[in-house]
Amino acid sequence: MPETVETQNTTKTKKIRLKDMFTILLSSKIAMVGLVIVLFWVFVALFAPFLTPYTPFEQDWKAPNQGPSAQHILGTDELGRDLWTRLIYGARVVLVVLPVSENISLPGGTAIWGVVVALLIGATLGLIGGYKGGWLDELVMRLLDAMMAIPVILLYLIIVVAIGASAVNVVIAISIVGVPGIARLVRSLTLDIKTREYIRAAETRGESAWFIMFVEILPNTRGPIIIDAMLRIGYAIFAMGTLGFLGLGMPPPSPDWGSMVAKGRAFILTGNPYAALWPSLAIASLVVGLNLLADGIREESMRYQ
Amino acid sequence: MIVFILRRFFLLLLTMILVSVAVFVIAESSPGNIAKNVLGAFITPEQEAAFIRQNGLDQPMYVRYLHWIAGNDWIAEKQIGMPLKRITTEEDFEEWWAVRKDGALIRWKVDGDDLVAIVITEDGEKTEYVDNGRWQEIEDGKQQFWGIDRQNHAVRWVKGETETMFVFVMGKGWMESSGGPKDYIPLKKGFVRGDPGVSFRTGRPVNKSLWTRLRNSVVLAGTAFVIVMPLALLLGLIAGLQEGSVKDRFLSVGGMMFSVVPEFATGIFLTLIFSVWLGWLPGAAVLGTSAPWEKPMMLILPVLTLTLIELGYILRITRASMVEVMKSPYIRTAFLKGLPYKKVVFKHAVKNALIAPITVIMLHVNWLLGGIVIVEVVFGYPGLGAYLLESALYKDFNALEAGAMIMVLVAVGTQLVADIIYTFLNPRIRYA
Repeated sequence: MPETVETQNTTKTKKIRLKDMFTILLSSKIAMVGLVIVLFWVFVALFAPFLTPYTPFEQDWKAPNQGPSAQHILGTDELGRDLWTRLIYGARVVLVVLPVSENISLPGGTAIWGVVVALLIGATLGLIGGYKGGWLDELVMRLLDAMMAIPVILLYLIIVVAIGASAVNVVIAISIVGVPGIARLVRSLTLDIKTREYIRAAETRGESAWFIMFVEILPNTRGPIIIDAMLRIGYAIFAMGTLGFLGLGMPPPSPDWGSMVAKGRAFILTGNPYAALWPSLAIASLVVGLNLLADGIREESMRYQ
Repeated sequence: MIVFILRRFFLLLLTMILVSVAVFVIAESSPGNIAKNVLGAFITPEQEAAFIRQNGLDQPMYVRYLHWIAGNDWIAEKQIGMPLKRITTEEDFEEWWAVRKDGALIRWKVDGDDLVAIVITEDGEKTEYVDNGRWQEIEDGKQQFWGIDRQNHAVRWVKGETETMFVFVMGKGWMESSGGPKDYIPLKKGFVRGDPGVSFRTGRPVNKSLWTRLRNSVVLAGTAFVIVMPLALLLGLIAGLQEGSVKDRFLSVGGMMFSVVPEFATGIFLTLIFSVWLGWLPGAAVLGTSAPWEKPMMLILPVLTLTLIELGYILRITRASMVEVMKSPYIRTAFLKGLPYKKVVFKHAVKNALIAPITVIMLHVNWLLGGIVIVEVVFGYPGLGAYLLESALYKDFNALEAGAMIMVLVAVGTQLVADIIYTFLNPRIRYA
């Protein structure tokens, strides 16, 4: 039974790869620093409700625009809302929950969803283009080239202006922007893997094209895609912050780092820099953490190879 | 090579057409409407209809798209039967006039049942007279006339039947008025002829504000570029030469940090440090209409923000390229030949190591444009990016479309230039 042998093989290699990744992680100081930062944010995002006595919407009209104090460890914003609370609930939106509507939230943060959706669409396009080739490949790649040529910020502007500002639409915007890059990466990997003997073997066995693409080729593109995805989550957080800052992100009362900065910015020169400073620091540290992690892993894995 | 460049050129055209159609369709089909944005949320349906008709927004989408691209003065000329001309007045307003056979400029207004012609003769004298001879009979004994009104539309008046219309008054916005005509063609020359129409938000022709904004952005980006390029290339080469050293680690990790942090966060940090705590620099750019170079202090923080973002990116590419070149066989040969270190680096390595960053930088313009938008918003800098954002939020189509096209032109154009430079730098492509 060739299939069972093969599945056994893949699980075996997968285990080894994961173990490898772990040792890589431990051996790179840079990756460790990144990991600690990222884990910190994941932790506060997961346990946000237990880490603060306030809700992100609770206004204290007696204490607006205050600096750090015993009641509000990071201070308050212009409506007297607790900044620490809004900060960690903001992390929650980025990393842990996707608020679809007022009552429905999906697990997995907005940035994560954006990357996952982009991965699904981009990988499919890249696989089809790379494996099938021909006019379909030509057409898809030319269109994606044209899309890549459009300045990213313009794409965001157009998309969000067209469909309005909400968490789901931010996911759509992030994934549309991400698709061309992922498709290209997967396509180039596919072109390489296509020539391997096990693909020839599968073809001779008479497997369908879909089986070959998704079961034979896709799992073998894993390595580069994981590193790419990690960087992409960084971009996605970057993009979320930028959209929020431009007023194109989450609708107002929700705690969104970008829009917190945009609001707080007005009070910098009047003496309360905290409302803008904390979310800026938060987004900067999270993005840097992710990049350190991805960088460290990439560097170490290259050394091992 | 020519085929290659032609292909890229074709791609540029394709991209621009795609974007222009996409922006048009998306902006038009998006929720919210321009009449409510312009006139306020509490307008009556009749007012809304009047405004939409007056600005030609009731036309089918493809007609409006064609008018936006190629203009509609030639259609209006056919209706009126006179050549049309756009002049710029002493107060710097753009006005459309019909040209009479004797060379005088003419347009009309309706006063009750009378048609009044306003004429400027060639020596600049302005006169008004009743011009009822121009009314033309149509069915049911009505009389109509196609002419130019005083708000730069080609219009069809029907005698005795006037509608409400809106006039943009400087400093007051859109005001309601009576005596309006039946049909409107808002005159414009079209984007490809350098006139994308009037901005709903400002009531001014888009191309005027657009050029000032574009100039400001170019000054900002250009200054940052001039500072970043030599610095990043130099630091990148230094880091690449000593791969793995403390200096290299410091430069590449530091560079990465600056390049991945969102521009608005960097902007906030710099504002806090330099204008709040140290008090050295102004925190926001207040330029008004004066050119940015008249107040160079205002430029420092925006330029610094852009510089930091771009520095890390170019530094890392240069570093990677240099590391790769230093490992290549021809460099080893050069060392084994006994050439001194300096000569190998400067004469052999650097030239090849710079090919990659220079072309990649051009491709990076795409990202740089995004950075400029944010930096302009952070510091209130009156550039193209801020203009684009304001127009997008207001659904000011004419301005949004024009700004988007300019941006795409810049992005795709630099990619074309990058490809051409690359073919010249890399003989393997040139002779392929």
